[in-house]
Amino acid sequence: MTKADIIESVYEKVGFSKKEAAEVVEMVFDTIKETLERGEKIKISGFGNFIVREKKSRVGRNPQTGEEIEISARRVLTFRPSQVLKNALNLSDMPPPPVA
Amino acid sequence: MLKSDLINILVVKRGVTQKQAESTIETIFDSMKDALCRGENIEIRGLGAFHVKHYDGYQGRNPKTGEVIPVKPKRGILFRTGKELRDRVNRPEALAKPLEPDDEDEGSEGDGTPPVAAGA
Repeated sequence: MTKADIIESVYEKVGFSKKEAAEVVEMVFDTIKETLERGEKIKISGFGNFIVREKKSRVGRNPQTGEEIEISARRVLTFRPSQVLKNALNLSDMPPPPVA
Repeated sequence: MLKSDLINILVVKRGVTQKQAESTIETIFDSMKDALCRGENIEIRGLGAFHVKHYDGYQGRNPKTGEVIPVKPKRGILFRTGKELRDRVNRPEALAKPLEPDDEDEGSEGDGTPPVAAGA
């Protein structure tokens, strides 16, 4: 699924024109990104939370050379799916895993 | 920021009705949820990608009693932040401002804070 599919769903359900649906969906994702950029978390009940976390600097290693390097302190984004979503994913009628 | 804040922003900034805004936000996250439940991955350019991961079942143990219990196969979600957002979250200017405190950590253990009785 991509943004185009989400736009299509919004177009079908809400009664916007194609163009308006696209713009509205774009605005939602832009707002989410701007909010996270400010370090603020997003909580979508029934779906999950997007949380910005502070990571301290730590010593890592170049796996190729074994050389020690400092990994600088940084902010990362994590997503925690809600219990509702986790349960929905694991209903008994879930499709079998793809055959590898 | 909550779902209701996203709805308000659509009403104020786009001039759509409250009902349209509510329906839009619900539809976006419902359609994403449905796709994940079908086992489909989602990729939103600039934001990130959601992957459905299958975990095999295994023999687990109750750590208290040592009793063997079968753990059923399950599915989980992995989220990988997109490049654009990863860079935006980690901008030097953003780092200067402290994060809001992590108030809710529902159900997490081992944070050192004893649970407090509600209404105490």
